[in-house]
Amino acid sequence: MFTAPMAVEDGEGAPDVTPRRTAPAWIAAAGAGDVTAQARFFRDHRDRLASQLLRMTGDAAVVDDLLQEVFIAAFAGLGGFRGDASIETWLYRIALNKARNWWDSHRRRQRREREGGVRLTPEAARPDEDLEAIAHRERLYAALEGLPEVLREAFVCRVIEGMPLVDASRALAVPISTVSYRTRRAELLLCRALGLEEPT
Amino acid sequence: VSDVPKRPDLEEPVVRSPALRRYVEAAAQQEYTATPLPWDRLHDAMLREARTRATRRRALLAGVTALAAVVAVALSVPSVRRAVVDSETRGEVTPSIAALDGPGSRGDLPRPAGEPSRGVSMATGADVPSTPHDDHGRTRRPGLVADAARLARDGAAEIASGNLRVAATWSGVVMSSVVAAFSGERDEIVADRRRSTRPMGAAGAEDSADVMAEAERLAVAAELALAQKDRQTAIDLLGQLVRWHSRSPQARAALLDLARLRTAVGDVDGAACVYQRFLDRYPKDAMRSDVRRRLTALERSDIACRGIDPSGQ
Repeated sequence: MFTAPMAVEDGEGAPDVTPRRTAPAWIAAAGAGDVTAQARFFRDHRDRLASQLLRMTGDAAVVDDLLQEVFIAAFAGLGGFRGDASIETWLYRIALNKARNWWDSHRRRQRREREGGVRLTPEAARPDEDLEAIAHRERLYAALEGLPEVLREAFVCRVIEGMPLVDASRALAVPISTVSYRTRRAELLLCRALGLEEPT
Repeated sequence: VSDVPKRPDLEEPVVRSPALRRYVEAAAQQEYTATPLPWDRLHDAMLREARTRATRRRALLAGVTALAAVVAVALSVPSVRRAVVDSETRGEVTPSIAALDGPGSRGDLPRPAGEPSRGVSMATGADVPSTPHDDHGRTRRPGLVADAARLARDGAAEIASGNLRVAATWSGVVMSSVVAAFSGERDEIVADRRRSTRPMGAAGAEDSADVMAEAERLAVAAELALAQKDRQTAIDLLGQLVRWHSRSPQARAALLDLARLRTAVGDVDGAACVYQRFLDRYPKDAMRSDVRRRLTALERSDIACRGIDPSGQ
């Protein structure tokens, strides 16, 4: 969860008025290729990013690969990080991009497998997990797959990730009202896809 | 849900549907419990990625450098210009190829003893006026090729500048005793392959790569035969070219060469048919008046032809 330093003004193109922070020296060192600093950066953000990626994709099997891609991209771009957003928001955006690519390829793979008559192997359940929760989760992610990209991302960010509107607005780089609208729209479509009563 | 985003309440409920809330909770409760990605594995992956990027960069750089080198060479290599001696206007002069290799190069035009020079006439395609020159290579009328080629005082054809610039997409430079056709894929002529004797974009059905290659092969083979003074082989090859690839870019120059060669070997009827064929095929060609004059000189204007041969054959 992020800590929002200030509220973002609503409306298209609203400026992010987060005070500009200077990136700590060790982050700059990580961006410059200092292996020790990179290892520290990695340790600081790995677990949180792994959980975020899991919630973005719903597939634990891909988290490691995506995590690796996120950190490679992050280290490649860290030199250009100026502290306009928090480092967590910056990393979340990278993770969002990687997850988006994954959803695209996942959707293509699903289509190929459906066309080829192949049945996907269901995800192995943890022994301590409630079977009903697993079934719900699988159905939810199957329904998310059918949503437009922007609606899915807003829903995951705001609802599954549980970000406040302000943080979600910053992470998705869209105004608060857009996040709110997309979330509600996604909720409506998901209810329809899952055969649930639509919200009033 | 309204289609228009409204100003939201910052405290609005995240999920309004109670039924959906159970699904969301199931998703939100997910914890990543697998063994976390170790730093060493990430570090190895980063090193691999860096190596791959470096390789790609090198390959890209090498590709760009190679391309630049090819372009530079293509633009800097001097033109190879060839002039084919026209035996028709030279009496008994043996046909030969005089290679004019770039600026200042010269090709000897054997001039029969005692015969005065007739001056030079140049033309650069259907839409470009011919440019007559006097005996001393001075242009009588400004023309596009005036500076590119001239007849020197001693009767040698001389390429005066490195590249011949023309306005049309093709050009044929014609002198009273020299014929040189230039490829014109650009507006700056860089090579003489004796092809592209018609405007680009007018390609016919025969202009497949194979036909082009075969027509080119025949044209080159005919030139080589001429260089070895093997007129009959050259005649046969040019005959094949104009019969089988009549719509190829090489056909026009081949018709002119064939007519001159037939005249040189005494096949006047055959030459007349070829000239006739040229006039039928290229009625608006810049050479048409010159060809008509030659046909008249042969005194066979009423001959019955079948293609490029007399009907009787």
